[in-house]
Amino acid sequence: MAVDKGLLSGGTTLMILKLLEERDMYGYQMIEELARKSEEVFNLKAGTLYPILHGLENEGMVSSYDDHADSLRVRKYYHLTDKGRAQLKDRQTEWTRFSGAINRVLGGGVSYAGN
Amino acid sequence: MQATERIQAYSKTVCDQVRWKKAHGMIAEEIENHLVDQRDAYIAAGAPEDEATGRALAQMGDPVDIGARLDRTHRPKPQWSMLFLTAALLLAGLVIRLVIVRSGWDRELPVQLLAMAAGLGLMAAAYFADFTLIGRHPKTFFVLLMAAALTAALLSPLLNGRRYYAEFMTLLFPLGFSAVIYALRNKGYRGLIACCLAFLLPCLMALQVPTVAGLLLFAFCGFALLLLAIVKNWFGVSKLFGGLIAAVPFAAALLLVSRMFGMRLTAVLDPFADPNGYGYFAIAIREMLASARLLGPGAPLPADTAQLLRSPMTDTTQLLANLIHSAGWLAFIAVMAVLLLFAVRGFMLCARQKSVIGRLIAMSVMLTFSAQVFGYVLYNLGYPLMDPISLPLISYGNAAMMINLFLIGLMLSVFRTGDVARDKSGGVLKRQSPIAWADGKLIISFSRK
Repeated sequence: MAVDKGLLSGGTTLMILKLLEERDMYGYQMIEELARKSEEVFNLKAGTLYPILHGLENEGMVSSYDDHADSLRVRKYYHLTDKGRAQLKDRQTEWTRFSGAINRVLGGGVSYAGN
Repeated sequence: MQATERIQAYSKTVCDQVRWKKAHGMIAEEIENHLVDQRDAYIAAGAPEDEATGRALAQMGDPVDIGARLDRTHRPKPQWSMLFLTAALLLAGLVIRLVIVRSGWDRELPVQLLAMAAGLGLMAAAYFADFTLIGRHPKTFFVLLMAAALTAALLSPLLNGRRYYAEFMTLLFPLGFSAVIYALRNKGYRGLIACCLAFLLPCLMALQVPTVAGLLLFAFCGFALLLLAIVKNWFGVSKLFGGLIAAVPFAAALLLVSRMFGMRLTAVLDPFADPNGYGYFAIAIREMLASARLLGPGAPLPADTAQLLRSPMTDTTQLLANLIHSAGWLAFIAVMAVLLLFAVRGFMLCARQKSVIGRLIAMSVMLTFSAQVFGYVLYNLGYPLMDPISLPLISYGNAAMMINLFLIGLMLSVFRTGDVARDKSGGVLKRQSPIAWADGKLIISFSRK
């Protein structure tokens, strides 16, 4: 199933931050993990991911380091900083409010029936 | 085209869009790694190599578009705030020396301005230079620096029994030592002990000048750099034992100057015990400060102390005390505020450095800067524990001015381009084992590093 791009763009950064909340990852891992978690709904292009990651690093939301934990090749791992963690919390709240509002509109105001 | 070549051509197209060339290596490596991972995943799923490569490239997206977006993120950071603060310190120095506190001693203004211009030239050269060069040849850098210090000591004229120019070379010793730490990191206790031995060389050099201030400056900065390396686990040794080992050469350095320093300390604690000897400056400076006002010129000084206002030390070692006396404490507070801003901002930016070499170089410069300020302020507040080398960029001294500007330029070069700096042999990584287990395969590497 393909998802409308406009809807996705705001959420991409949020999802990247969320993935890194669990553990440090390199780019390829993030794309795989995102596809797996979203049951293949989100097939994020690597070309979209890296500019976002580098931008987040510039803003101090994530930091990076080189490691070769499970391979001979050196990989660039990304780590969520405290600033990034705070940003994730804010964005998550914002997203919940936004998606909740959409759901209520789509649901035809059923939840307000009793008010 | 071969699969590998296709991948390289793709990453080159991405990099071609990024105007800042220093970022290319880092971007290319990440993109190529990703493409190889993706291609291998397709091959593992049964696709032939050619098709797998094509699909991996298609999955990545349009290289020009990615490159253009990365170009917006990767720009050198000019560090305007630090450049502005440097200019403010230089200007404050000129105003204080030429307008507020005039030494009355023969200082040739054209020579001072020429030295400042030369210093700014050195600063600009260091600012645009590739600081990772020091990381590529750390041992050579240290040896050359020591040779230069020795040459300066041999050629320098003697002034009050001191090899005059050689004293200023000690300002470069912490930088040289940071290169030694970089070269010997990842080598465990052996590396740390070698660092400790190397620590003694600049100390002995300083002793030959002889300069207590230079030796103490190096000892404190060098010890702080060693502790940083131990705490950051760059040597891979226990923090407690490592710290204890690092304390040995530091204690030895303090021991070397203990006799000299002890006499100064006694004089500072009770200057009137030796009012015409070591206590003299402590008394004179305290008198200057006691007669100072909050703003404006202080009350007239006793004849003995007033003489000091026309001595060559007026704008070299005693500039701040004179400033406080001639313009008031508020002027002193203003100067200290700029110095403090410089230090706070500088250390903050040091902490952001990701590469070990960038961190070490920037820290060595900030420590050298702070140690000079500390020693100078201590002296000028009536605690002359040593003759301070310089108040960076403010007090009179052409050699110190040029060296400090060069150091600041080098540090700003780290702040400007440090984001893309990479450490030699993969930074602080564990040394690569020739036998490794990866992706379910046993890999034996015969390549020599």
